Amino acid sequence: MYSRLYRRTTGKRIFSAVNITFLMILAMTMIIPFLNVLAVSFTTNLESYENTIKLFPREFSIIGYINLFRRVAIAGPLLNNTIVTVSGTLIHILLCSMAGFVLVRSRFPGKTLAVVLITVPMMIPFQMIIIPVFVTMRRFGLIDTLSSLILIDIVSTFSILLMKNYFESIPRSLEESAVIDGANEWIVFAKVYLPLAKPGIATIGIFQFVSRWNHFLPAVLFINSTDKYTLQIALKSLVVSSELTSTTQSVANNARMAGIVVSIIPLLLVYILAQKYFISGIMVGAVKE
Amino acid sequence: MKPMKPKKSMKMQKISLLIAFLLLFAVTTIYAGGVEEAKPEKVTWVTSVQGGREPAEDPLFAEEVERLTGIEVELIKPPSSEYDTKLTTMLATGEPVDLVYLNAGTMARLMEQDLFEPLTKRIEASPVLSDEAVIPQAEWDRIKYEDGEIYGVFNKFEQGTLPIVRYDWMEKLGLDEPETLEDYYEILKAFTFDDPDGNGKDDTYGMVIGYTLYETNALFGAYDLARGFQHDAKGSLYSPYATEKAVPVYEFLARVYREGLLEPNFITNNSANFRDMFMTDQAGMTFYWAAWVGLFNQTVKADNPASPFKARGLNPPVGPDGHRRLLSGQDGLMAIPRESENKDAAFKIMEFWHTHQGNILSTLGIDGHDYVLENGKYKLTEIGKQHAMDHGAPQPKSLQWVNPFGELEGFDEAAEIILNYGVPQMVTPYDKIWEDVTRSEAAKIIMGTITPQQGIASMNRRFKEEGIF
Amino acid sequence: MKKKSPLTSQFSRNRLLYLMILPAAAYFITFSFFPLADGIKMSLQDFRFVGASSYIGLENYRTMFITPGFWRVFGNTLILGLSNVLLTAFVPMFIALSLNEVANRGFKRTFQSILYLPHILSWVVVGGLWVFILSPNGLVNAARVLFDQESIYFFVVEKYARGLMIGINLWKQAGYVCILFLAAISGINPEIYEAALIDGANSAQRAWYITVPELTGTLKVVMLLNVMGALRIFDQIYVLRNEVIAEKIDVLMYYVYIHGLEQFKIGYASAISVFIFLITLLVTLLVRRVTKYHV
Repeated sequence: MYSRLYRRTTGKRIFSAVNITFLMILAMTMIIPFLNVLAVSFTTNLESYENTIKLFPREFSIIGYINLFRRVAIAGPLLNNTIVTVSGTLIHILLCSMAGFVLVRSRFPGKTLAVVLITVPMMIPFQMIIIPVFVTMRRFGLIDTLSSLILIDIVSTFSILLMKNYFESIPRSLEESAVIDGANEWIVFAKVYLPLAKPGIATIGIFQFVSRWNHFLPAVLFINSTDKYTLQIALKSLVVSSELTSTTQSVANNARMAGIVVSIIPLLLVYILAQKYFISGIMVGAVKE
Repeated sequence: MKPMKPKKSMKMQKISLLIAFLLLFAVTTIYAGGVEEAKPEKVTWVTSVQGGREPAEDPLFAEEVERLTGIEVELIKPPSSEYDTKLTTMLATGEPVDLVYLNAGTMARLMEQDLFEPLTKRIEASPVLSDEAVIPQAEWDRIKYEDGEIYGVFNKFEQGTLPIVRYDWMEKLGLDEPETLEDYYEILKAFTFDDPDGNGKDDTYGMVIGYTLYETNALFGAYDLARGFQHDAKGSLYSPYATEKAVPVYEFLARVYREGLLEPNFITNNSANFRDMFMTDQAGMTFYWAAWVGLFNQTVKADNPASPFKARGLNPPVGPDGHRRLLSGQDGLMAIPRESENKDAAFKIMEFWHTHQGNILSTLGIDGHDYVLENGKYKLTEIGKQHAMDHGAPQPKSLQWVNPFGELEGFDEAAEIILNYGVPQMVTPYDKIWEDVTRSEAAKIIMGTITPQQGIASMNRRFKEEGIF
Repeated sequence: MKKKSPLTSQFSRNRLLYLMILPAAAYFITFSFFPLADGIKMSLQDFRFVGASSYIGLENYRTMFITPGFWRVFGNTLILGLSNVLLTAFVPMFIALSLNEVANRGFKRTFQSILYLPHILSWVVVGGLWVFILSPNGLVNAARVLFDQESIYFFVVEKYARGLMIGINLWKQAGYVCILFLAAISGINPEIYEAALIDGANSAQRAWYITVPELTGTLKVVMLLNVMGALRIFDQIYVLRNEVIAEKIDVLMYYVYIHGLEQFKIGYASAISVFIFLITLLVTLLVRRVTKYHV
């Protein structure tokens, strides 16, 4: 008995060591890229050309950031990006919660149709509908407006289903008292369900925030004027290169990396702030039997 | 649901009516907005090269064009990586566009769509563009389409790619200028093994190139092989790079790879990678655009004025039959869509682009922003210096053009070499396929996974599969 | 309240529900279903940029079926897609299980956050990084040289190409999927574990007999999401492809992109898009039937 226990602990120790080593290596591959981007963003122009993985700049310099802010007047695009991301995310949360709530209500005529309407779009390849979507946007007079960027993906199948699953986990008993009070569906939704769904909201909120903040193709397609540029177009315009005709444009790597750092910071902040809700939201939202 | 009290229900009805009304209102205003689209009297100009050096400068550029030509311009300048996507979408959906920039290859692929206005008559009638002292007739003849019409106007002098060498390394190692491929081989070997940077470490390569293999055309040029497709005697297409004549060039490339003279990441390198390696003492030779001879020197010296770095263009290698050949850059063109309602104004801007004032704008930039004119002398501002005299056409097409500041160190000689040996590529709608197939097989040959003969055979097989011949 | 026919009364009773789902429905109709219909229409046309496009029946589809290049990318898509569906479900589950065995809570939390990081990075950044790590003079080869192995240019070896694409995708997505599993694990009733501990089950047994069965729900969701994305791999290939390995890894969406927006064969590209849509629909229905996961 004693020896068996002993053996098990040694086995356990080895297992635990192997396990932690495995996880550490994995984690390293995930941290190194961030450190590398950060380090290169603080190098001098010439050092940033060196084609090696750096974890520290040899000579500390903020010239990359200076160039980034001087050469791309980044304040405008940053503001536009914030407007599009924040308002888009908020509206997205509201509309998807509403739709998700409707789907958990008991049967009503047309529910099947609603389910089809909501699930099928997820399977349509975006490359296929680029041209028709552009035509629709133009018909609405939304080409070259920030509204077009807010409108695109204002609801999504994923978010609606996630909210629906989340709402399903909320005990029905909670709403009964409200219904007895004579509250209608909207009130049940706004007063009972929504406040309880904070984790679910945080989850779709984070996903939306990340994808809206990083959106690129819609902005390329719908935006024409410089004063409506969003962050990713502005950053991409820094690095102009064409292989077939001669090009003289170049920007040092430190400025490009500085661009990546600037664009990642808000994402990290939002992730850290909402992390607590996010994880429990994912859990209840996604897991469903 | 439990029945509601009537009073509540009334209130709800009002609210829902209100919401419905608001939605309806929103939808109708949106539609109305679409219908009322006004027709502005201005030129909408879509481009990836002309204009400001950064987004914020674009509006200033548009104002400057208006000041100089009297035509109002709306500049649309998507990031060049997605340029074709944006341009296609705008053209396919009939967006009102008056002036577009595109390269000759894209244009060749779009010709089938019959999108562009023929410009031959307008060019003949234009005092600027028909002036032989600005653009020679031979250049116009070169870009005539099958039907004898010209559909695009040049943007700039496109230069070309040539061998660029660390001249300071050559001097240090006492090497002579290479003539034949064998001479090139010796130089690459010395750069690799004789420690040209003098740091005592074996950390240099002979040459560094990019994944396009585009730049190595100078090597194929020694055997007089043209890049892309050519017509044979019977008028059908063939690829010179996929003929027996190309075997010695592949053997040369395979040899420098095998012996470690070629930087081994060439397939996954992008142009920024290999430019950077050339500038940071990691390789002694590259093949790139003539303008970069000057830019290499300027960039390195800007950070470290004491650096011995000295980039110089080389004559392309000469082959056994005495051939030398370089590739001039593909033409970037300006064209007017048939659907445009401001064709005259758009053409005026093309014309303006080749006047002296247009040349100044396309190089130095914007008066009062990039440069100031003091007592008849140009002076670059701080911004102007950063913009390196490129606002769409750093080397204008016009033969009249002389840069008031002179060119960057080494550019003039390099441009001279291109003028001597440069031949433009014949443009066909299949160039994209040619790129894919040739690069793929050539890379395998260079890495030694297949023999040149095998590679050439599969190139031809794949062209046939794609239905090209 | 007035007497109404059962259906009308049902409608009026649920009027608020309809109002609440209206924005979502309106958006999907305008920006998904109309464009879808347009795409189907274009797939039947010889699409012209200006002027009238003529209908050519199923010609575009016929071209698609007789083009060998199309079947090659279709095969690649199936291989890469299927591997992604399976690996990006099971490997993160395995990571979550091993992380669950770590006693130190601080380590666990930190690791969990780190794991999510690659998900935020764009493919351009991720691609550049891995090309670098796996280059002939990159980290991996430096290690190989230490052990007297020859250095390998991983990104241009055809037999590694698909494995690399699958592996890198896994690396990028694992953290995010792993969080789903971790969350599910933390939701398992601790009493079950305690009971098992008393019965003398070791950690492997506990993981296999208790945790894994509890995770089937999450697994189904993850698989379903993976399936819907499987045929639409694009960004990764766009960033990581090179001509040498193109024949092994070019996928359907890339093919659509090249033909539609670079070769300007919009009708043909639309036909392939419709094909992708139909296959996705079919596979999704199938997976839903098999996993019995319903909306």
